[in-house]
Amino acid sequence: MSISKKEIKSIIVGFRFEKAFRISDVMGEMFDKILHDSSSPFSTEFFPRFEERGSLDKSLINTDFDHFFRITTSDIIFKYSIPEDCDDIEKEFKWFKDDACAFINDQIIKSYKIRNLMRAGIMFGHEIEAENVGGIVLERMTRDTDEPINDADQFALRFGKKDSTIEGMTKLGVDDFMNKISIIQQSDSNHYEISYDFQYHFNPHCHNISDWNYEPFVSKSMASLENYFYKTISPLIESPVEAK
Amino acid sequence: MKNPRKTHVGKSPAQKNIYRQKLKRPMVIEATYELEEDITTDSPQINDENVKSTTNVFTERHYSPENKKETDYKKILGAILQTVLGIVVAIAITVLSYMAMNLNREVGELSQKLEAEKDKITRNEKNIQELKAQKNKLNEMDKNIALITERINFLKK
Repeated sequence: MSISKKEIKSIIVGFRFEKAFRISDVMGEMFDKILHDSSSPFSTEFFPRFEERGSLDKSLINTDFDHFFRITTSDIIFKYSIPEDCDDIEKEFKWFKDDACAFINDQIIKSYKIRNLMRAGIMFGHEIEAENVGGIVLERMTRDTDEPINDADQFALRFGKKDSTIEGMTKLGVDDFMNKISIIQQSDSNHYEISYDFQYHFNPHCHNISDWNYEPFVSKSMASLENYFYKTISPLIESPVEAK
Repeated sequence: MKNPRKTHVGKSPAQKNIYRQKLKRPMVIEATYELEEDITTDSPQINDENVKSTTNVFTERHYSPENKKETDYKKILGAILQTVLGIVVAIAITVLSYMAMNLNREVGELSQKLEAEKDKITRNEKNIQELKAQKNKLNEMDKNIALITERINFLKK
């Protein structure tokens, strides 16, 4: 069993910023812009429904296609689910980067002056159908012990790997870093959700998003998917071991 | 404070090394979005059941007796400061008013003295004028006496 872009089911982009209660006053206006503005890649067909979890947490949702756009006083999160009949994942990536991310960056974060960004992240969600992935991973970890484990239920594994950034290496007073989080989680007996969360942490917080360029970040996240994530995860989950 | 993202000051090799060391520190892994709380699994219908009460505002600062005490303490401290400040301001206003009244009185007295001096000067000027006039008359009389004396002497001769 190996993993590739073919198994991608969803892409999530999220921005976390210092809690700003002002956002709750302009949430309605933001949603109007998302649904009706000419610069928006979304529409009322894309998000036919609206959900509210109190006045500080609201979302536009599409339950049929499993998309959502969530705005809270500290987060902006957009989840795009890849259509089941998709035959060109690169085209989906391009739309996500050039249209969706560009709109969120320019028309939402910049326009509504969302300040003090703490983190930006892009998460690629995969879903695989496989037998005993947890057992395979655990067998690799415990093969040299007295009682190796080669079978597991409710399996979950999560680890991060921090990396330097150009800004962190070159600018005095800036210690920004990347965090590449890999998550393997069993959803039912033979289905696993495998996610790659590519995060950029701002240290100190980024006062204005204009001080940061989102495009290389999105491109790097997509490149890192193949250059790092698949190379790390595929060997970990391949070579199935028979369940006891 | 300058925005370090806009400055163009680079890092020295030692500073770069410190930065790399910082990356090794452990941190809590927090995903961009937690899959467990997938909101799309909730009922999507817009009705009253979905509109849950807001709790986020209050989770920021939980109630505890310490909080209450701190609040009371701050209130009392504020009230004391306000009272002290009020008293200081009142005293300052009273002192300033008293000083202003004193000053006013002194100015009045000086004005009166000045008027009296002016009157004296005017009187003296008048006296001088009168004395001058008298002196002129005396001079005239002297001249007349000299003339009469001269005529008497002529007549005697």
